[in-house]
Amino acid sequence: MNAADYAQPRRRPSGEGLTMVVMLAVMTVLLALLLVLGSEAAGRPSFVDSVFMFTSTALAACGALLSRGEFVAARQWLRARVAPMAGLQRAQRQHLRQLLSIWVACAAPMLLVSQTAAQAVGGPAGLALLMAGIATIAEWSQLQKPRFGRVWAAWAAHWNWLDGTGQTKFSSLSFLPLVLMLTGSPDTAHSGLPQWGETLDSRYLLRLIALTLIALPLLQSPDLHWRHLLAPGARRRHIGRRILWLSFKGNLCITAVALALGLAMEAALGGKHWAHLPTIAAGLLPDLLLATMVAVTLRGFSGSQTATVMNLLLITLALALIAWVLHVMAISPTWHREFANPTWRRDGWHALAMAAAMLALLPLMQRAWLRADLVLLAAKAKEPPEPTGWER
Amino acid sequence: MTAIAAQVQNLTLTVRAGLLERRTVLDRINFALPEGAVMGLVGRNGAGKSSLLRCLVGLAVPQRGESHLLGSRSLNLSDDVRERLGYVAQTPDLFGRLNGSEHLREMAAVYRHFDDRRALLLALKLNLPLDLRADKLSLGDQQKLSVVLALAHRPDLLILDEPVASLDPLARRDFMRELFADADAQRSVLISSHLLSDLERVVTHVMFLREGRIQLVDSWDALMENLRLIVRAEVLTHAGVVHSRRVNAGFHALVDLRAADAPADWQRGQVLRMDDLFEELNA
Repeated sequence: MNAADYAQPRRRPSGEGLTMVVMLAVMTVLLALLLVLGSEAAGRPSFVDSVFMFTSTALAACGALLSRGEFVAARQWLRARVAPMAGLQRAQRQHLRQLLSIWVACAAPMLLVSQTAAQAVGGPAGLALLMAGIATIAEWSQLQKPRFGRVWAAWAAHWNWLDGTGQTKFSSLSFLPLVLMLTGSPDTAHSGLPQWGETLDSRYLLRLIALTLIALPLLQSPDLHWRHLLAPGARRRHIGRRILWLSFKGNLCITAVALALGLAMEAALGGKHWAHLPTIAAGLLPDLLLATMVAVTLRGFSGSQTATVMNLLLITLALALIAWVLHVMAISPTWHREFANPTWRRDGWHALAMAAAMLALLPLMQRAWLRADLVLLAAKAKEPPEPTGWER
Repeated sequence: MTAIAAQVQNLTLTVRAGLLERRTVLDRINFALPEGAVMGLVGRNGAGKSSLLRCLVGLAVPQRGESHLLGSRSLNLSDDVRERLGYVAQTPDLFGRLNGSEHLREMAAVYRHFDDRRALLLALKLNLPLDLRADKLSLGDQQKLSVVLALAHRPDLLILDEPVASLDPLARRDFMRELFADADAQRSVLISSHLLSDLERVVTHVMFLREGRIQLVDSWDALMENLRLIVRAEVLTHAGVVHSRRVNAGFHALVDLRAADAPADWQRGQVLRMDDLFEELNA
């Protein structure tokens, strides 16, 4: 190495903006496709649904899950099978390997969906078509590797947990479908979330609490290594906001994956609720943001030294929540109505109240992290942004 | 008036020792590090040295009191001060997946005054392999890399938490030389170490900590000139007694000749080297 190696811009490389642009572009295109193609009744073939589901689920699952700490082994396994490209035949073999690797990594949801797709266009032909589609995506990503790698690395950089290892994180995530299912709208027969103008009841509060509990162990920050904290550009007073932003993005991604998987499975079983996705998202996003803000504030005030107390509190609250829900479900066959005690509506006032709550929380959150002890948190951060598994 | 590089006022830090119990790690610490001074921080394990240094760089938050580095509050350091600050933690805390060169690039990307040439020369001097991943390096080499990273941007203030604990004697010597290589630089250093003989050669000031409290803090020259060990059969209660302890049949008393009414015979007391002083204060 020599001094010329440093002839590069002196700023921390960040592909954050690019990642967000790509994410938003993908989501926009997918949603636009959905809206343009219309519902099945308007003539959209079910095959489009299947391809859409498969592609979005595969993208979401591969992008989000494989970049996570829990999947280091999977990433290494994949990397071992994807050697540098050196010729067409070899590249083809690599694509096949890559395809198979992805297939295995996402086996369960993929198989469910592919089965539906295969049925839609007739058995092996449908499956072959899907595999060809995936091969095309794989080839494109291989060709775009230098660019894609940076995006991937920036993406992966945002998946560092604030607390502990990633191994325990999915236990809290497993509550998400249950929470969404149990805290739906009292106005609708299905378990969809309350939409604009619909009534909100005590279940709404329950959902906010539950989302906060889920968000607490999922808080993220990539900058807590003390080398970064002490470097120029680091802002202790901005830590709370940074954790909020990263955690919200992470929770958004997790929710998107959960929704995609849930809807894919629902579709595989015959349901067609894709059209509800924008309205579900519109109802869920502000709640998720507020819950994440509360979680970041609580975590900041609890400090690194009181993590045990915080964990005890969380476990107690989660157990109480489960016990309550089970109790209500057990004592009444019409348990949906037990919750239904309409108090207010999701309307302009509600949006205003949400905005006011968020504005009030913001300085509180900043203050909490301004006084938070970062020693133990910094000690946990031993890594820079994780390698993506696709660099070489 | 001498400029102050680091100042600590009434700093108290407690940590949770149980569900409802807290333990005091630092108790009302006050001191000032003049610019250009090299202060040695000395104390037994658990005395609070690392905690004090972490409070100084703003990683730990004291319950009471505050500290300033180069005029900037530790909990809200300005970018300018961050540029001028170098910190070596007790554990190297490197990025395990990066090799030495990548570490240098990572830091070069954030420090405007990062000196690549200096970093490479220092790595060469310390015989540090830059092509190995940090988690494959020996503990000593990790420590060397940590030191290189702290020195490469030519900081004006260095805070070093046992930086040479894992270094071999040659690397230790090279590191100490490098610390004072820039003859023109008005570099202030706060260094904690158990290697008192090394420390004695380089410090201008010294602070002894015990159980979170300052026992002694002053310039090393002043301590050498004014501190004496005297042995008495009975315990001394004089105002100039800094510390006393029972030894066999008598008492060892550490006395300060600067006390207003210090008896003349104290002048005949024993002058102490740093390790003797450490033993007297901590035995």
